[in-house]
Amino acid sequence: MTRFLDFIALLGLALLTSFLSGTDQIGLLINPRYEILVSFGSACLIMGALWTLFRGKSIRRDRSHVTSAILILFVLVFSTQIPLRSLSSETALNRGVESRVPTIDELKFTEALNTPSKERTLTEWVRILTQHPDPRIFFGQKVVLEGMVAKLPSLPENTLMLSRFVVACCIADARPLALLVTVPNTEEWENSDWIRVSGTIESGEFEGKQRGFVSAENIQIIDEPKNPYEYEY
Amino acid sequence: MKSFISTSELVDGGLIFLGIIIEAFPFVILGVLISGFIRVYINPKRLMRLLPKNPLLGCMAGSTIGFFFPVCECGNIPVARRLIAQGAPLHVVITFLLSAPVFNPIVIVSTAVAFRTLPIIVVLRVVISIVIALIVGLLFSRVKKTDEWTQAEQIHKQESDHTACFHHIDGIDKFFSNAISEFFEMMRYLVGGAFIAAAIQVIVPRQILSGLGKGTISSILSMMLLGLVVSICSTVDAFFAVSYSGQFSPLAILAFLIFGPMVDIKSLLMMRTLFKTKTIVLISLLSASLTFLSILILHVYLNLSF
Repeated sequence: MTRFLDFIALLGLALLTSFLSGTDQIGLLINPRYEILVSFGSACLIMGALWTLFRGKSIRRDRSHVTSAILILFVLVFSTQIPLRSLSSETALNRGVESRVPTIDELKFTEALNTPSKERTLTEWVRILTQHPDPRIFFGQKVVLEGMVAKLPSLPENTLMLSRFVVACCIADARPLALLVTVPNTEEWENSDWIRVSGTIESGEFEGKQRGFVSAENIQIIDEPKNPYEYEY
Repeated sequence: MKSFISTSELVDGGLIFLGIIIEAFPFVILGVLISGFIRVYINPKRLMRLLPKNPLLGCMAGSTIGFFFPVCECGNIPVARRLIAQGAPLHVVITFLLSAPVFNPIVIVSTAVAFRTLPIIVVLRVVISIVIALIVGLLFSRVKKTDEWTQAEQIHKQESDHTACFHHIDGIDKFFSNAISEFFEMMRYLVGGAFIAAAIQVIVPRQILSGLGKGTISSILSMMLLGLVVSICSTVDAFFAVSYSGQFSPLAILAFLIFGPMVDIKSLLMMRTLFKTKTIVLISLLSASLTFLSILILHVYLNLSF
């Protein structure tokens, strides 16, 4: 009878990954570039499940094998109970989001700046402001940014961080990037709220260094985007 | 350590747990497919005869084999298990396991892309990883009774159990039965490893890990610790590592790039399918010390900055 356990475990895992791919939610867990590998994996699992059902009767399965099948089933049940969403701002704060705030003194290599200022995303702005030799040329530029609110007591008054995660491989490595945003009243926003900020880039000071801030002119609450993460490649 | 963990962070931990499993399982499958193929279609005696008797050459052969298996640690472990079962010498397997995650085309290219402003990092990463793998392998070539250090006995017993009931084992059935058994064997450690890795990420804020090191020695250790805890695939860990270039020196980041692929929470658990605990402990300690030592030596002779 344990072969039915195997069958359900193998098929179940394949169904889970197919569901995630099919509903375009796989990007919430891994870099979508791996989707091909995951599909390949699912196909193999299905073949394995079918083999187990029709030809797998005689394999003697020891206790560790059964434990493994049960663990997989646990993972499957677990996945149905957990809400699929972006990582929260608390995790961004844990991962040191405030150290990712761009400083004007840092000199890094220059990135090509093709996009008009209003179309640049949050992470593009973070990269520009951190890596451009003279970010001051961007002061006065208009921006429209979407990101997650992250609040920290050590921030200047009326300031919060707008952040997004960048994922390389899977969300285990997700690292947060953030910009500082000046708002009229930080009480209106909670950690992990998604907002769209329209404003201007200007200079400000944080932790003794000159930084690029966003002075918010208009803030709207938005739904968590379908693609909350940026991917490294 | 955190004194209070919010519900959001617990949910995040659960998502990270799932993410690790979903990301890694295709590599496990690739590994067991290769392993099954070797078991069913390749003659073990011929394979073993191809390996050089000389320990150093044997280790180098182990490294070279690794070049053709760019499947991440999760995929290399089933292959290593197959090699052990076929009677490959311990030092060959260990060198393979330690060098394969870095010495392959995909990792070399991705490191080169991530560190395009400092290409010497690529060279240092590959060369030092291979040297460390060779040294650890050579140390293990002094082992006389391989079976005391590996799970060969357990593997053989499992395999004879699994196939005892087949009267006619033709290729396909043997292949499937092997691949599926090995898949289940690996998965319990992957699930366990993912759970521990995710739990650590929730309990220990990452910025504490990276905040530990400002001085030379502590920054190296802190990056090595990060490599241990953040179980990220070596195929793309260069992109993750380069993001620390603002806070850490290139050599400290190099320590992450060398040590991470060799030893991390996930692979430590999965190695239980290959080796006895004492072997795993020894491999980990040796890799850690050699990585630390080589970075220190480089620090004396090289002055690198981003």
